[in-house]
Amino acid sequence: MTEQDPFEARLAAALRRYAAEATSDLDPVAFAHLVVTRAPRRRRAWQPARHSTPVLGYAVWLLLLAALLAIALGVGALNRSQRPALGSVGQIAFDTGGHILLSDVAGVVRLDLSSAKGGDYLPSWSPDGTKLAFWRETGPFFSIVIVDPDGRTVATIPTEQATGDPHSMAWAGGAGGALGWSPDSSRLVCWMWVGPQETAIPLVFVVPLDGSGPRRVGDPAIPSIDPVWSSEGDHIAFAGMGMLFPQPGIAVDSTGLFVMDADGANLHRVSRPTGTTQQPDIQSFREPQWQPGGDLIAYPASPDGVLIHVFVVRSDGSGERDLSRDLNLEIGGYPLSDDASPAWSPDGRRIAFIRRAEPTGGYHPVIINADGTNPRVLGDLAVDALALTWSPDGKTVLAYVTNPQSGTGPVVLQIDVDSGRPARTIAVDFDQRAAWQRLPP
Amino acid sequence: MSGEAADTTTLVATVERAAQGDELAFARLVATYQGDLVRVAYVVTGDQALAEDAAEAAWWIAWRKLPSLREAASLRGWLVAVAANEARKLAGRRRRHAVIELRLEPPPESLPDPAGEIDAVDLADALGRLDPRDREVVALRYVSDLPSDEIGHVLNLSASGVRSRLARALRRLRKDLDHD
Repeated sequence: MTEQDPFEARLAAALRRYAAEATSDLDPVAFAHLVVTRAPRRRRAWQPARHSTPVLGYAVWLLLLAALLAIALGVGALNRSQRPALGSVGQIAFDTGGHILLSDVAGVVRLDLSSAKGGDYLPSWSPDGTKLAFWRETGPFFSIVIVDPDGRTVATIPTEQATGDPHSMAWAGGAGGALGWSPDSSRLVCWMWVGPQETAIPLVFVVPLDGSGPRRVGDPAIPSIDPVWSSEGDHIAFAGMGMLFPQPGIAVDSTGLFVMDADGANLHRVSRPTGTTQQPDIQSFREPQWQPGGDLIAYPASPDGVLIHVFVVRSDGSGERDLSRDLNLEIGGYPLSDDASPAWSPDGRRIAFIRRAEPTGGYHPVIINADGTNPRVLGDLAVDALALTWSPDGKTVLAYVTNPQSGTGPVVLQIDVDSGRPARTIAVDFDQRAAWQRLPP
Repeated sequence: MSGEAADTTTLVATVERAAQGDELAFARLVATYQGDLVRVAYVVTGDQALAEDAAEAAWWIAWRKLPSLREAASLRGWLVAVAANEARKLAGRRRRHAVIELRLEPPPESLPDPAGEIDAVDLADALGRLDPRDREVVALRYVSDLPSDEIGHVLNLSASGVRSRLARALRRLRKDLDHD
């Protein structure tokens, strides 16, 4: 074992003292009972189980096949009627170290947009490719900044008045806090913390670019995060997180996937947690994605309170389907896994998501058709948990990869969707989000 | 039989029983390792509540995955890695929130070290400026005392890759904290 240098020894001692500040009053017996009773072990996928009642089994299978066929036909009709056109590839925007960088398709940085002290985060290109929105940290509040593709500021939108409380954090933290553009590139949707820090809850805001300022929409009794526009711009889907905010004024049963009109009217839940979940589930319903040109919403959720799967559902709550359940994809010989961060292809035909394989915990990109067919692991790559980003032409996805051999990186890889092979490495280390500019075809 | 061997035998038996569905054996594992999990998660998140959430999430995963654990003797390293991984995901989601809280509200017990060593508030701020992936490796190395090859095994990195990442994190921490 190599000898530690004096600083490393001091650091190790300080870290142990620091870590010792953390304590736990968890009752191991009660907690173990909760886990064991609420998370019964799942049967391995390769173990036969359906042979005990063959007649009933065949009948169930026939019904299941009929249902799947009906769903597949419905999805196909949806896609055929409103399939959006693919774009061509423009600049890539990254956030790294509080700076927004614009690079060309090869990863050559041509602009650093940030000069403000405090940092810029979470860039998002408008669908027409003419504007880039991002968050700018300005003291305790964050402003929304809009720039053109050459980095010239078009608008700066403060959030203080919208959140209304001088102690509010006013920050839509995490990758899910990205600004979402309406399909006509005229409005943004986002979530922000509202209220004093101790009792702040996240709520959804629509931000027009006409100077009228952010406007809260939805129900203030439902902690609401990760809003996303519908493909027509007339609805907003979001994740309700009531389970994580057990405090006065919060609707107890307000966890799930919700849809409302763009002005907040007609709010309704389209998916709810399963009855087995007894712990706050921080992954389910996060970062839902609305199908381009369609009516399906893709989102992660837990079917049993333990595993995380990718689901789709229509905006009226019909046709909910667990896409992960029937996937026959084993990575490293282990069929059990968690799936998360679904991302629609620009034409709305396919979904990319991240599968966490066991037992290593490595993350792998997976592509699947919207109707659940043709699942495949995208190359032999261990990627990071951050979501994949499709190129506007639908030919590649950006993934965040650490080289497992050298530990170098992380780097951003462009992966060819058809071959699964890395097409290009981009030596830009982004923090939370990469966004790809869509140019006209 | 040495005490260490006896402990290892007991651990293997406990893990095997838990893997077979024994609730009491699982409770023993929770009681034994919960502190380790919370501490490593705390270094990654900088937040007591998030650390507890990460530790609990790790136990739900552990219960599900115990039957596939190949070496019971490596349980602790595997568990703390799962907790660190869950903590990293939580820290990523609340990254900015946590850092701001650290700046505004230093914990009351964070007095300067009497030996003139690294101050807890400075350490918390420096950790907050690290990439969560680097915090994860730092926590596993210095709080959980895992060697590089074991960290690499549980994080799917090579040992040299772990050392490279540790060196990068140390450079950043040294720049922020080494004022002697």
